Amino acid sequence: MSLKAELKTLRARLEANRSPEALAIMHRAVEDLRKSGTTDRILRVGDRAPDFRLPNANEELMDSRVLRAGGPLVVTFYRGRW
Amino acid sequence: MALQAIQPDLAALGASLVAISPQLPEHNRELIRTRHLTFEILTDRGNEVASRFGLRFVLPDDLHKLYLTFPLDLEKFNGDASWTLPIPARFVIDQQGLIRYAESDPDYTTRPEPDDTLAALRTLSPARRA
Repeated sequence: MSLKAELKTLRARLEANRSPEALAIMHRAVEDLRKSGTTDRILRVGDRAPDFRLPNANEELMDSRVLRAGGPLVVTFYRGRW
Repeated sequence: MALQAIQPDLAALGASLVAISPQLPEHNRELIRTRHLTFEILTDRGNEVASRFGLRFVLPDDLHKLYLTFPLDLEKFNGDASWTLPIPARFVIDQQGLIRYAESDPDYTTRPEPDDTLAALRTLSPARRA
């Protein structure tokens, strides 16, 4: 599935059966976040990435220093599977 | 996840991939099982690491109340009462720990283009161009 098709599916899944009132709250939260200045604090290209140790799905601790030792590390933050 | 589709390209470029979310490991186990994911999904309790990347936000009250009606109890789902989430984002971190690519969008219905991530990686490892 292409990203575009996947995003269409994603939007349909996230917004299915929601009332116009609910969608308005969800969309306003996104817009408020954009305008809040919160996004100005996000780290940028050239910044040092914070190192981390976090549990994987099997609750084993994974260390970013180990993960990036052998090559570049791609880190994706997402909200959750709900 | 579109990311699963680029796993072979990432491997060819010598890169590894992790996803980070605040949800409890049991939900990540479910996701890996049902979507056949081959990359690690890490649990960032309370969005502490997300906060260090500048991504953590507190849900506004109306959204918090709305989620409870879905029903989605983030406190239970994430094992944490903060009602915070990360702004969806992707970073490429080089072997020295420097950020070489950064993309984020508060809109939860968009995702970074995998091709942009791969293009950033190719500039880091020209000798291993896929």
